Amino acid sequence: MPDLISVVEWSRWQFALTAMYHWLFVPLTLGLSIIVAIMETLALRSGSEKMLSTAMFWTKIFAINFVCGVATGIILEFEFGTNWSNYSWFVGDIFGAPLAIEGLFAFFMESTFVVVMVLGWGRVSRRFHLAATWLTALGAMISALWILVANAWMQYPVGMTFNPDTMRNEMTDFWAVALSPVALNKLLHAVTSGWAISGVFVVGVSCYMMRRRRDSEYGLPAVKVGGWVGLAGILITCMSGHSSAVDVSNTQPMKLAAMEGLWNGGNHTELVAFGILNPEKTLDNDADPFLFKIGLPGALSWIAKGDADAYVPGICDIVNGSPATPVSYPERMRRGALAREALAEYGATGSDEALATLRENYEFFGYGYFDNPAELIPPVAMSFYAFHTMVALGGYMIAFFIVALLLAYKRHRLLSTLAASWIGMLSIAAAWICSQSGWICAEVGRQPWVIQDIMPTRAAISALSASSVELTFWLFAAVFTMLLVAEISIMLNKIHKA
Amino acid sequence: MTILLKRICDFYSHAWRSSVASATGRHLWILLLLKIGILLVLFKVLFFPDRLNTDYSTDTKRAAAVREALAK
Repeated sequence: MPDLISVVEWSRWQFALTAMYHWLFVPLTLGLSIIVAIMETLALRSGSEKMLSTAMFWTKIFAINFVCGVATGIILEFEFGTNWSNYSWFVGDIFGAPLAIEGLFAFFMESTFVVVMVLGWGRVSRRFHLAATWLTALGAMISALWILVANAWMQYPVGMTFNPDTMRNEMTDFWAVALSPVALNKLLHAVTSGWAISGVFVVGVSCYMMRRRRDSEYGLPAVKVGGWVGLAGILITCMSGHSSAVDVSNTQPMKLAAMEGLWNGGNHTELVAFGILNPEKTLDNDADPFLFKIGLPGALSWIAKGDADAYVPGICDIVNGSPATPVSYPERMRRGALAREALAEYGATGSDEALATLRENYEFFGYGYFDNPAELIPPVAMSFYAFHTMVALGGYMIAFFIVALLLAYKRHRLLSTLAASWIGMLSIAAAWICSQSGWICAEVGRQPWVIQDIMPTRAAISALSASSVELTFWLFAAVFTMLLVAEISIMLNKIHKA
Repeated sequence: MTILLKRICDFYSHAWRSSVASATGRHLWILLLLKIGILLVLFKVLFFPDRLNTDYSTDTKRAAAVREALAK
């Protein structure tokens, strides 16, 4: 068992490393393509040469980011086949369809038009070029849609039935998978957060370039477009974040409880605006969950249920059973164990009785892997701090865009000061920390599940030795670090020479 | 149709030439080829076989292996 846990942990670390590295580039692809498309549209409509040269410069930065990010996501698919073979087989039919559509349609659409967008200046008509830029942006969004559909299905598995003969979950309703509310909110949240990150990036880099050139008007068009796109992006991100919180409260109440450090729920539940968790708190003791906190009474009830007096279950309530989650964890574990035994019996005998038992208890199948309810609680500290970091930095980004736009329209000389340059650069780092924290919250908060309630992470992995996964983890870490240094150098060099 | 294909080929060949004409373009191509070489070819071949496809010859055997792993 220790070796198994180690394989699980190393596989998770490796997947996290690869996904987080991939996500360094994706937000910029999503956001910069929109920002460049808007710049180019404005240039075409107004005939402004300044806006056109701004669009051309940011197209080059987009291209550098695109090349840096390309192929980093495919490694995740390698890992599915090698490290997560049980999972890959178990969900192949569900996961395969969105990824295949992504590969065939969106990626090819994106890659075809990106060549015209980046290298077609002066070679095709202005209108055709503009169309290619918008189609690149659209392709990036469609690409994101199918990845997020796959991810959303893992958090909220719908539209499928389990076939114990093939050992696969088979899709029965494509539209239930593609249009699940979790998927749509995830799409909106992830794509518009990309706009916000790109907005911060454009404003921050423009401030740096204005300072460097000692020209307070040089980057103004970029600050204005980046600022407006970023502000729109972060506001929509906040709204879709609220919808996501409602989804989580309905489909993954344990995740919501972990995000808020809520061990004991109730009516009129407070939202913790700031808090320091008590590391001593566990399921088995009555310690205060917080060493310090500032709470907003009723706010969590209102966010989760739309009513400040509504009931929100805490971790202990969910484990023991509550009005919102009537089946307790011990009962789920009992039924999960029944489902697992029935699966084994069905495999050996093909018994109809075993099949009926399996079907009856399949919704709790994954709980059969656990002996102790405490193992079913996600890492509370990581979920809580990641969530609150994301929210705090998201709030900061709203203020950042408002101030940047006010300065751009009223006091643009202040944007070329050393202070603005520093704030811009630090804000770029903050934007990425915000985004990565959001993913940490989403993915760590759903542990121990790789598919909610059905497949725990520990059951998803292949029969590998921990050392082989550890080796590839460190190889990836070394290669990614080298690539990242090279990629940042190329981008900085381009910005420096602008 | 032939003219259209020729124009597309001309476009891509010009795009290739202009992309390698600048130092940034060359660096990006080198980076891209390195990535494809290291990540997609070397790592995939040496370290990331598809376990079930490699270890079992038919879907029935793969399903049985996964059942064994999940039900044990």
